[in-house]
Amino acid sequence: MIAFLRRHRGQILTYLGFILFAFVWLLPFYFIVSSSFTPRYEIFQTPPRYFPQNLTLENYPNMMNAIPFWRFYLNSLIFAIGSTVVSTTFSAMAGYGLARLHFPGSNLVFLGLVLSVALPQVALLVPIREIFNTLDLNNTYLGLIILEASITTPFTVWIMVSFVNQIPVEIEEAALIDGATLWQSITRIVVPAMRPALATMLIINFINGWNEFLYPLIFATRNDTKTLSVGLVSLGREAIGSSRPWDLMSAMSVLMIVPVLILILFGQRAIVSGLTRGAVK
Amino acid sequence: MSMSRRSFLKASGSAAALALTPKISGPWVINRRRQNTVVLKIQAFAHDAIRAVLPDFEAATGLTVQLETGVSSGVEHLTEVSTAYAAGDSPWDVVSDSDESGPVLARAGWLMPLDDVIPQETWDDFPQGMKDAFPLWHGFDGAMYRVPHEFAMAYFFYRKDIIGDAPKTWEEMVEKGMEVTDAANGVWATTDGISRGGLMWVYLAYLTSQTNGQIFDLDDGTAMATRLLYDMMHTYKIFPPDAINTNYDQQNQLYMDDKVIFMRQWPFFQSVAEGNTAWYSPDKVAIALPPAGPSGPGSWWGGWGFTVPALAPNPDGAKELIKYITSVEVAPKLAAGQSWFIMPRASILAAMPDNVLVGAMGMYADAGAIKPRPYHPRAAEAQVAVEDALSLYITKQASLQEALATGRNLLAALGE
Amino acid sequence: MTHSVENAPPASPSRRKSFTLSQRRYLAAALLLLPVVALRLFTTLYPFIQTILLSVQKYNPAFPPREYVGAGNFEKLAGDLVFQSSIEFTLIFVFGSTLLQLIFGILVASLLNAKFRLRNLARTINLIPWAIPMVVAALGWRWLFDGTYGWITDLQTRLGVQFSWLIDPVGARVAILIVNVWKSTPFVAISILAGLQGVPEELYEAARVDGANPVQSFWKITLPLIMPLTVTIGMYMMVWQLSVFDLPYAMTSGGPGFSTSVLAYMIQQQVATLNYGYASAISVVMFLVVAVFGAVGLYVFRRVEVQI
Repeated sequence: MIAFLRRHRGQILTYLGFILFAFVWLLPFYFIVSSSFTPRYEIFQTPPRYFPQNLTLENYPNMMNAIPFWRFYLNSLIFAIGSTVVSTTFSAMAGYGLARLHFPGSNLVFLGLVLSVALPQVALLVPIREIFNTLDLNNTYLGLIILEASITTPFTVWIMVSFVNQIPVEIEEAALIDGATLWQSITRIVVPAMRPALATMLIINFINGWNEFLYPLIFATRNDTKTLSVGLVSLGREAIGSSRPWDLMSAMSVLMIVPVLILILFGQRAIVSGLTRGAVK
Repeated sequence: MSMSRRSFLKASGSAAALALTPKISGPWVINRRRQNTVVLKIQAFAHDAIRAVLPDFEAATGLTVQLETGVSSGVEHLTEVSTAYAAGDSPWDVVSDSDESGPVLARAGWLMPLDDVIPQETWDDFPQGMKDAFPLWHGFDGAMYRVPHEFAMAYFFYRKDIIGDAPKTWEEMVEKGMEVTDAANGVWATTDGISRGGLMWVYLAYLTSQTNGQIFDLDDGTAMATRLLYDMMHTYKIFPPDAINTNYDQQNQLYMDDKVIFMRQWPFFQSVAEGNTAWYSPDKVAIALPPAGPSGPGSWWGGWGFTVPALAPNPDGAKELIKYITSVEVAPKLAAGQSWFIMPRASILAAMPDNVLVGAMGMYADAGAIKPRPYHPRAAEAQVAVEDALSLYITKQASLQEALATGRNLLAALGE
Repeated sequence: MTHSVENAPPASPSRRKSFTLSQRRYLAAALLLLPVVALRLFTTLYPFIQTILLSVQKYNPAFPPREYVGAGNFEKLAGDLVFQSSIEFTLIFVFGSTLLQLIFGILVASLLNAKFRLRNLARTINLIPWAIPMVVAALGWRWLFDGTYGWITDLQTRLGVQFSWLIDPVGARVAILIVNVWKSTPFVAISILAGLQGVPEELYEAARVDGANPVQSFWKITLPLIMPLTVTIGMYMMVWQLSVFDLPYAMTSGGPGFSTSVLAYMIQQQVATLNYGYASAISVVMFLVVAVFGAVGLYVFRRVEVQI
């Protein structure tokens, strides 16, 4: 027995570490999910229950009656998908341009783009508010998508440049010598080669957009543009019924987590390998 | 110079917008609502009472009224509406505005003057005492911007079925409180929803009104009030320290779970309690004068009122609605539906002479316990400043003197 | 086609092998870069300049007039206790979070890099806190810490520890740090995982032959090799976490008192109360903090690189 333990010490430690890690990482997640299926009276019980005794689904319809949930859902989807597509497309273009088409000052442009992430978004709110007032962009998907796309571009450009730098330039050169136009070489060779980086950044930018809180909070004050994150916080503050509606809020939280969870389950390899190959070289 | 920058921005921005967006209506580019709806923003607990009076209005005007919820903290409410108005947009046509928000919004030019909208009959329905406060709290520069729908004076609710008589002084409150507190079972003599965002200020201003103090002066009276809260929490342990993270809903819940024996609360609690039919009995929510401090019993009044945003998407519908819900015919119906709407308006007093809260109002008036709301031009910020400073003492981060000095500095920094 | 490109040997340094320059190439570069550059100028550079101009004005739409006040806003900041406390907690929050995230990030990355059967599951689990929206995490944890109904409060009470996290100023700060470390360690971990995968297996083999145990080879081989990467990630996290405001907003509203207010939260609050000039002054302070972080970070980075 002792010999067994000694021989497999490394493996045993790894599994113990895994159990501890999984417990801490998943506990709040379990708490939110289980609350969403717990009836209200059981949530407000002392001492609290760790396993709900009577499971219920009623929190979900109750929550949907309290707020325009599906409208918020649609808004969040439009906001996240729109900003992801804009940001990833623009960044891929710029990434290719910076990595391949050198011109005087291209390093400076690259540095400027990447370092501009250091200007905190919250610190620029007042002027953006004035721009939005002037251009009538408040409460529009267009305005929100521009802002969100903009904050995710520096990181995306960085990843794209690193990635394109790893694609051998010879194939494109060969294609050009064979008479292909620059446009043909981009669509037939470069875009397919960049597919892994594109997939990674589409996933990451979607998650960032889905989770964004500041911009919708400030620039979406109407229900027809408010996103889920803003709706969730206001659900907690507007006290529907007689007390803090954690039953409703947990149900809403679970439905908010579902899309990102699906992306993670199917995209884990893409995220890890994309970041491994891109960012960190 | 700023004009040229503006026009440059506008031109280049619209060019970019045109190039980038297909022509789709809805919130893609610009957001406008249909003109036959009127949106009213008001706290959720008032929705039922409002809904009850709407059919007549909708039948008469052909408009549809849509209700949206609001937050219960006046400071948070200001944050929410000013964010929208500063964006040059109002999602709402009629808004229930707090004392913290109304005066500031009127100053900023974000509200519609109501002098020509509201008939004289409605104004005359208010007692002189309330009218005296209109210029300060409901008007600006000679125009009226807000019609009060609430006479918010906190009452002292107590469990007559448990303690028989209410405590009459601060000393009695502490003495009785220590007898009835049973911390092991979660039973506290008293509590209050005093979370950040102005609610602790509400409670300390209430206690200060029972001294000769002025809370915005952070004077001796304020010091006495603050020390009382501290002592109830930490010395006599009759007031749960958790209260600094709770709001009114949680406070009411505790009271109706039989975990609290007496408390200060706004009039809306009367309806909340009566609505909890399984629990309610008149003896469980008896009303007495607040325990007297050095200057006797006291409670300040203020309250929420209806406004029309200058940018209301449906201004004509908004004018119709605000005129209707503040009229002498409808005000008593709202008051009957939700105690939050009970005011000493002649029409309401005539319609409900036997109402508990109308009686309590009379009792407070006779005892000289009704005090004016402490005024500050930047009410929201000043309240948060005072509460931030005094909470340093309440949470044991500073001495009382330090906390008071901090508060004076914060107020001085606010200016004006 | 795609396949052959992906499997091609690592890129030869492409910079040297660039195409020859031509005017068409300039035009192509300009067209490719224009969208991103325009986006950033419009939402960052122009607002940045405007913020600096606004920071020397008294400007609150509800309290006109709008006027030039010179250093007035900054003098006011110097005496503002909420600001002092916010800057203090911002530094604690940023440095504390980053340090803990790097430590736990290296530990978790080692787990994710270890050879065991559940490795893929572990990598998926790792991403969950990162993907959960911050406001959801903040509100969920707020309940776990709740003084009446919270699991954490209940568990510690059973162990005989009476403590209300969110009422105590220090407790609330610690709670915010815990949530932030939980939320953002996963991202640090996958980034460091990339570095671990780049450490050649032969180095470990050689160390094992020399009789080094796993702990020794971690200190002697792994850590020095991933250090530059770790510093880069640390810098990135510091800059990024400086602007976290949704966590205190949703979890504590800056309370109790103003003890968990950070600069970003304070700016949002000032914007909400329409003190645009004052908010811009705080923003300028934030720019300065970013600049100092950046300078210190670059200095540290150079030193670390030289040492290896």
